[in-house]
Amino acid sequence: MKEIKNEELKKEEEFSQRSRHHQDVSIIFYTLLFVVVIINLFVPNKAYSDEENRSLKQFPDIKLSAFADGSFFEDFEDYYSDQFLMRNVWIRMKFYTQYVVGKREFSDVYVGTGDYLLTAPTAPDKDALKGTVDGINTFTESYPDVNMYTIIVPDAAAVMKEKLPVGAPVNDQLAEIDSFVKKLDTRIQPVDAAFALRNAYKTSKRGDLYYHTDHHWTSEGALTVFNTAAPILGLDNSGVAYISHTVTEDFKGTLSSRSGDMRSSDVINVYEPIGTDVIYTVNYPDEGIKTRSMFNREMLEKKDKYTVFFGGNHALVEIETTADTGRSLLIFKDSYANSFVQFLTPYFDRIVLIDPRYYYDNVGMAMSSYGVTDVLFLYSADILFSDTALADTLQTAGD
Amino acid sequence: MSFNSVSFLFLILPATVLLYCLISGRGKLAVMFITGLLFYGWGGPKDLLLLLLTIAFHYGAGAELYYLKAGKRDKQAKLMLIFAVACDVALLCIYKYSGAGLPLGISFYTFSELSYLFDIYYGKAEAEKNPFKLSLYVSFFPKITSGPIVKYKDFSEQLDELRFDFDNISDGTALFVQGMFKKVLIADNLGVAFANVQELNLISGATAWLGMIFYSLQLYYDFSGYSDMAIGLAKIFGFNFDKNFDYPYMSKNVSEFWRRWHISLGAWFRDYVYIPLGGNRVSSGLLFRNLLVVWLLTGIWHGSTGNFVFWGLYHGFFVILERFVIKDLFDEVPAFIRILVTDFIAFVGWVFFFSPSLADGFYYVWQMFGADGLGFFDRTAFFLFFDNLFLLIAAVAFATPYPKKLHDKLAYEKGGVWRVLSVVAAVALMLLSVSGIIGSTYTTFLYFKF
Repeated sequence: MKEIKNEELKKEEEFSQRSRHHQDVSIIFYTLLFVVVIINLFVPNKAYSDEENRSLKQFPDIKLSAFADGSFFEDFEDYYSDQFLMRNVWIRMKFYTQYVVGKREFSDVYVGTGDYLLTAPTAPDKDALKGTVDGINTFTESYPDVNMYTIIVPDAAAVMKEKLPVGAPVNDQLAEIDSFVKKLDTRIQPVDAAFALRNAYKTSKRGDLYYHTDHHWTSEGALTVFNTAAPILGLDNSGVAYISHTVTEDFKGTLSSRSGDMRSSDVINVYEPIGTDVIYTVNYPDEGIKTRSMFNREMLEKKDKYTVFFGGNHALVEIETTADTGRSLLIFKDSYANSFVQFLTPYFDRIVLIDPRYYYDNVGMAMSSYGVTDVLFLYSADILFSDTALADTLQTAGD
Repeated sequence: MSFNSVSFLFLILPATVLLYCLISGRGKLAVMFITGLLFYGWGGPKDLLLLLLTIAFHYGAGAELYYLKAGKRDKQAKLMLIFAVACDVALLCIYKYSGAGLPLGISFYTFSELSYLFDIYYGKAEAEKNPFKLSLYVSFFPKITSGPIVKYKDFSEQLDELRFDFDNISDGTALFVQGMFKKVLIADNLGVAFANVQELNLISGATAWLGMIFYSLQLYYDFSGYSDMAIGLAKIFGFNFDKNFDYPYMSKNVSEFWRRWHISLGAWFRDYVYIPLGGNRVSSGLLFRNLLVVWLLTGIWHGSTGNFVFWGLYHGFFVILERFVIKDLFDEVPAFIRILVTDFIAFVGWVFFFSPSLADGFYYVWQMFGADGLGFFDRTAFFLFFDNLFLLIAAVAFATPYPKKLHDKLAYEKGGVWRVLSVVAAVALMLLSVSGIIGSTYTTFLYFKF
């Protein structure tokens, strides 16, 4: 009898503990909700998020049609979450929580050792790749007197495999580059950027070859490849040295944005050739702008600070120099070339950059009007193996 | 709108609970009703209009049915019932097969409305005179979009005896918060892991197994978490709904699994299909037919395509097998082996649930044996496993009753510092849930491929 009584008492005690627990949890929960709701009312709306690189939603227009199709409440939800109290703090908290419990992949970005952010190289698109090979080879045959070179830059994940989280499934881009180069006309002289970068990385001769937070190579990475390229391109760089200037220490690139990992920032250095009196002007014909520098400091105020080089990508950029070497270089390129050109000015009278993704003019005309003596294909493997714009542009040479 | 949306958590929920506490008497019912309209009408008034039309139809049909039953005109009552059910089935079919996009929660609220008619027909309940009360039953916002499917009789009995009680609010809120943890912290992250598997073109055997496990656990946490939120919300307003999930992945056979998974749906089919067909008190031939009908309908209720029909019959096959062949044959086998085998059967079933077609489902099963030619183990599987290891461990652990037993023992029996610790943990999980909800809206404009 007594035992049953004890049992009942115990049950009752447990019951009251349970309901006290529930009360505590509820009080805290509603306090959290009300505090957030009330503070939210007084925090002014923000127009733009730097971290997300986009405009934030504002309170939706009150229109009858928006209620009729339900879009008002959808927009309201977006507005409310965009303008949510301490939005960035919550977002970072989510990243940290997952990172702490061992997650290393965020929206296809791997968080590697040394806080390097890396992406798996895009698998080559077979059709696009064949078109590009054919395009380059046909183009090369049409200009037997022009020197042709390639610089194909692998992704950070291919050069610094060891920094990837253990087991991260990444295709062998170095092999893909090899097999691509083998398919090209033998008259084209390849610069083995992959080997140069891989070697520099393994022997740690240079600092960071790629940004921690961005998919691009650094100026140091570009310089490493330039040193390998100079003899192949026949550039006499014996009297020239390059000194670096740090233009920002607060670069958070595309991979930070995509993964939500905002922990580190990158330094961007630009290089200035010393021991040469060559000066240059940069002409952006489409924009009608001429400048004395390829570095656009205004871009350092923006989110994508890599655009400090030429202010980003343009269909066409012309650089005229006082080098007086009788050589005129045309570069078919993507954004990787933007930070490479800074090393080239002492050696060419003219350097023309064509980004086929934006260029719609006839390449044959450009070849003759610029008096091109050298052509360089400078691409990241990622773009080169999946893009069709280069083949399309090269084809216009035959028109 | 969903319970884990920012608008619900940080606007509708606190406003509703506050109003519910402040307004007295019948005003409380109005708060529930209006919140329901707002909650359901959030996605646009079109679905809301359809909902109100069906309620009006069932109000009329129920009144007529009750009148016929009261006059002992059973034959006409039966015709009336068949007519109304045919209308409902036709409506469901129109939406499911026309590809027009299903109105929110239609499968759930139609079953609520059918329950109303069946309860009148079987004499378990009277027709509701007050159309608002019937509307409140059908459109009660905690359950309208995803259940649980509460039987009319159970709801109406409670509706008439609702009492305002702060204990209900705190008990309900605690359950709601627990459901939110399951949904936001476990299910949504498993959803990301499963999406990672789905976006691969070719998968190795081990990756396919992982995908199946991710999905099966996600579905459980998603649905049971959401059910907890719904049942908790209902509790806040004084309704006691039965639990909808009871650790289904701890079942020792498939029949038991279905007594523990989506319990309210099983109960609906039992009460309104299986038992009226004679249940198990019939010859084994009829019993076989009854089971087959129930499982066919269960499959079709979940989706109109062949894979859902197959999935329903697949479960029906095991239930019938257990009933007629296996019986107590495996009772001596250790429980954990029987649990693992049951989970395997259920998990393979989910493959047909998430595959867009029956053929895709079979192909996925084949992929689990290396159909894509990547072998069984590869780096991707290895990486996916370790990248989500913590999540998997948590998901497996909380699919068993042991963490809760331990928690209750410490926090409620021992109490004291343990109870405080539990509250602290709950606060941490609340903050993590908010971060999970806000974090999932993180979108960045990408200038990536340049």
